[in-house]
Amino acid sequence: MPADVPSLLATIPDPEGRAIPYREEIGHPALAAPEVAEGSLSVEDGRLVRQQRVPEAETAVIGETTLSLTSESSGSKNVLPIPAKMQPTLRTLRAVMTGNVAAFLGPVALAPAKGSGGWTLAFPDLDADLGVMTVSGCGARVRQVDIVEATGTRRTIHLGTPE
Amino acid sequence: MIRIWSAAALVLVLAGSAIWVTEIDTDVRAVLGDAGAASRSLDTREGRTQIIAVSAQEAGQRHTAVERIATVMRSSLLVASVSTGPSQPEPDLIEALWRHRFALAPPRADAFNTVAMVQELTAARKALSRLEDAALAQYYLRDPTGSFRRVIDQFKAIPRPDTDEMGFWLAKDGRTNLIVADLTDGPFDSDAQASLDAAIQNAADRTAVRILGPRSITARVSREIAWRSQLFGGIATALLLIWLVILARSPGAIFACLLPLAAGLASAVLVVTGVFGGIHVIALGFGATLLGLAMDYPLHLMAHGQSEAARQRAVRLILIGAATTAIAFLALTGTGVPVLAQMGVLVAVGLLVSAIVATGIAPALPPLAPYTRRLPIRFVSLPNRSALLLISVGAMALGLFAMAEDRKDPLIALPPPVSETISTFRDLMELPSGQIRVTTKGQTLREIAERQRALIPILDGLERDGVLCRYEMLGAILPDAGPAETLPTRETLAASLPLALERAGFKPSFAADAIDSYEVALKHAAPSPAALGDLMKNRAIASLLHVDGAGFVAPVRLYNITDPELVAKSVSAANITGVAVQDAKAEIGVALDDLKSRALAALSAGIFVGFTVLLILVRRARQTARIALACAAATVSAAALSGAVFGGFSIIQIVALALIVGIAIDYAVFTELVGSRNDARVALHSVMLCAVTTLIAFITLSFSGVSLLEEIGLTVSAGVVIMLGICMTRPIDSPKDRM
Repeated sequence: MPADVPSLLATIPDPEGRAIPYREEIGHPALAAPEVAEGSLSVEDGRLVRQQRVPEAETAVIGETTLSLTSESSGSKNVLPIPAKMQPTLRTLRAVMTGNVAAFLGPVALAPAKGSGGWTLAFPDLDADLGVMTVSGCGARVRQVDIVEATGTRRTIHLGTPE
Repeated sequence: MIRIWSAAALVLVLAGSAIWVTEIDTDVRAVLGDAGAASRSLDTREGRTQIIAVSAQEAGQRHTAVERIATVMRSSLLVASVSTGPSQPEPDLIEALWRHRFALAPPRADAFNTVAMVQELTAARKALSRLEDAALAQYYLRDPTGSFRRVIDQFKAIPRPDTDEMGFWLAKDGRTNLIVADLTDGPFDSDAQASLDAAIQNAADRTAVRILGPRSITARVSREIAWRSQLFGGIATALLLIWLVILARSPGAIFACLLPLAAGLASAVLVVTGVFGGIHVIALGFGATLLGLAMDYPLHLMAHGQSEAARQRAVRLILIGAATTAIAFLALTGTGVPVLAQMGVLVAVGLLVSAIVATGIAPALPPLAPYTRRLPIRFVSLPNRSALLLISVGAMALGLFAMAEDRKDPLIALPPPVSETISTFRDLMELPSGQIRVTTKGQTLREIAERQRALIPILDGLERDGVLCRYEMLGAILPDAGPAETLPTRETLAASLPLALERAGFKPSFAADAIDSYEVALKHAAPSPAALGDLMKNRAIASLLHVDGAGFVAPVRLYNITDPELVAKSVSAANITGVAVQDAKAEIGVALDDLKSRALAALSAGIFVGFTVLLILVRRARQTARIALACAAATVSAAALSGAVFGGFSIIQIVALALIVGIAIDYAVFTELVGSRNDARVALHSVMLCAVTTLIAFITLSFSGVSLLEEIGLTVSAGVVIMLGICMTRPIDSPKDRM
C-alpha cells in the first residue's frame, strides 16, 4: 500500500476519456431492498460524466458548481446548480477519480484494508449533514465508494467490471 | 452708483443663501405628481426589478464581469437580492411546499387506490437515482399521493432564461449573460440609483453592460434632463450676455442689467425651496426662461432712458406688467403638480423681485448704445384691427377645438439611448408587458387557479393571433385538481397503504411515517394567505402570487404584446369574477387629462384675476380690453400653431401658453398704453429688443433635446413672434390712449 494519499492517487491511471462501469446500490430505511442504478463514469475535460442506463437513462456532466443533465428519454437538457448537500460528495468523488488531492475537503484517513494491497480512504467530515464517505480500492484501482447520508440513505457505488 | 452696489450686495446675499440652502430634486415623478401611475409603478415588485445584460464574445470574460457586478450589487444597500443563474431552493421553501402540498396540488380522488399509490411509490424510488431529484427523494418516498412531486414538477416548469454550462443566465443571442436583481422596498432615490448604475458599469471589465429596470430608466432620464437643462441654460446665458454686449457695450451696463435678473432668480429659488423643501431640476431649468422675461425690465428702462418722464412711465408699466404676469403664474400652484406649482412660484417671485430691483436701479441704468436706435421700426396700418384680432381669436379657437384630440405620446419622451437599451433587451429576452396588467383576486388558491384557468382560452386565442407571445400565471402552473372533494382520513389511508408499500418494495413499517406525513399535510390543506408567507420569499412564486389582506392577488404576466388595447378589451369582455385588467398608459393618460383640466382652470382663473388687477391699476376699460384682446390673439394663435406642429395639445403646451400670456401682457402694456407716435416708436423699439432677448432664451431651449423643454421653447417662440406682429399693428396718435 502506498505511504500517503498523494502517492496512492498517483498510481491510479488517468480516467480521462475512459468509461468505468458502475453499479450503485441505494439503500433507504423505507425500502425493503436497495434501489439499483447502473451506468458508467468517465472524466472529460476535467469534468466528471455520469452516464446512467438503469433505472432511467440520464447523462450528468458534473462541473465545479453545476450539473448539466440530459434526459435520454425526453432529450431535454437542464443546467442546474449542484444541491448543497451533494456538493462535498461529488467534489470528492471527482477528486479521487482525477487524482486531485488538492480538491479534498477536510482531513482524509488512509488505512490498509483486507486483501493484498487493499486500502481505504475515509472522509469523515465532508459536511455536517452528509455523514461519512469512504473510498476503497486495491492497488491502483478504485473499487468502491460508500456514502452514508444523515437522512439514513446509504449509497454504495461499485466501480469497474464486477469480478 | 450707490443703488447699483446696494443691489449687488442684495444679490450676493440672496445668491449665497440660495446656494447654501437649495436642494435640487431630479425625480422625474414630480412631473406627474401624486396622480401619476408612473410614481406607483416604481414602488411595485416589478418597479424594483433590475436586469443587467453583460455581453462579450468570450464566456470567461463575461462570467468574471458578472461575478464582479454581482459582488458590487450585493454590497449595495439598494439591492435586496441578486441572481446570476438558477439556484437551489432554500430548505425553508422546500419545507413550506411540502407542508402545503395539498393546497398547491390537491390529490385527485383516484390517487388513493392501490395501483396509483404503487406507481407513485415506484417513481419515488427511482428519484433516489436521479441527481436532480436525489435530495428531494426522501419527501417523495413519504408521499404516496404524488402531490409533492407534482408541485415540484410544476414549479420546475416555470419558464426561466436559459443557462450556459457554467450555470449563468444566458440571453437569446448566446453571447450575453443576465443578472436579475430585486431592489429594496424603499423610496426611489434618483441619485442613489444613478450611483449604483455607475458602479455596475465600472465593474464591467471590458464587457458591454446594459441596465434595464424602471428605477434605472427613471434615474437615467432624470440625469439626462438635468445635464441638458444645465447645458442649454448655460448656452442661453452665454448668448444673452453676447446680446447684452451688443446692446450696451459697457461692462457696467451689462452688470447693471444682470442684477435684477440675478436678484429675481436667487430670491425665487429661495422662496421655492422654502415652500416646497427643494427645487426640481425642471423648474430650475425653467428658471432659465425667466432670464428672457426678467431681462426685459432693464432693457425697457434703458430704451426709455432718453428722458426722466419716459423712464418714469416705463417704471410704472414694468410694475403693472410684472404684477399681472405674477398673478397669472401664481395660479399654477393650484394644479397639484409639483413641478408646475414650483414653476408658478418661481416665475411669480422672480418677476416681481426683478421688476422691483430693476425699477430701483433705474436712474443708474445707462441709455442703450446709439446704433440700436437705427433699428427699422415700422407700424403696420391695420383697418378694423380689433375686429380682425377678434376674428383671428375665434378662428384659431375653432381650429384648436377641431384638434381637441388628446396627444398619445408620453409627457417626457425617452432619450434615444434609453429607447435603444429597451429595444436591445427585447431582442435578448422576453419582457413582460409593463402597460397591461391583469390581476386575479381570490380567497383561496383554488379560487385563484379556477379564475385564471377561465382566462386561458382567451389568452390562447390572443397568442394564436400573434397579439401576445406567451403568458404566465399560477392557474396554468398549479395542477388541476378537478372538483373539490374531501380528502380521505388518516384511517382510510392507513387501511390501504400497507399493500401499496409492499407491492412497491417498501418496508411495511414505513407506513406509520408516511401516514404521519399525510396527516400533517391534511392539516395544512386550506392555509390562510398569511400561512403561505414562506412561499412568497421565492422570487418565481412571488412574481405570480401575493398576499393581499385576507386574500390572494395573482398577476398574469403577458409577454411581448403587439396590441395592448385588444388584450385589455378581450380580457375585460370576458367579465370573469375576480379578474381585473389595467392599462397603465391609459391610466396615465387619464391622470394627465385631469392635470390638464386643472392647469387650464387654474390658469384661466389666474388670467381673470390678473386682468382684473390690470383694470384696477390702469383704470381704463377700453385699454384693458385691447390689451386682453392682443394677449388672447397671441396666445390662441400660438396654441393653434403648437397644436398643429405637435399633433395635439398637452399640459406642457399649457405651461408654455402661461408664459406667452406673461410676455404678451408685458409687451401689450408697453405698446397699448402710449399714445404719441414718438412714445409708440420708443415702446415698440423697446419691445423689439425684449422680443429678441426672449427669443434667444426660448429658441435655445427648443434645441435642448428634452421634449418637454423643446415644446415650451418652440411654443413660446411662436407666441413672441406673433405678439411682436400684433404690437406692430397698434394704432397710434390716439390721445385717449395716453397714460
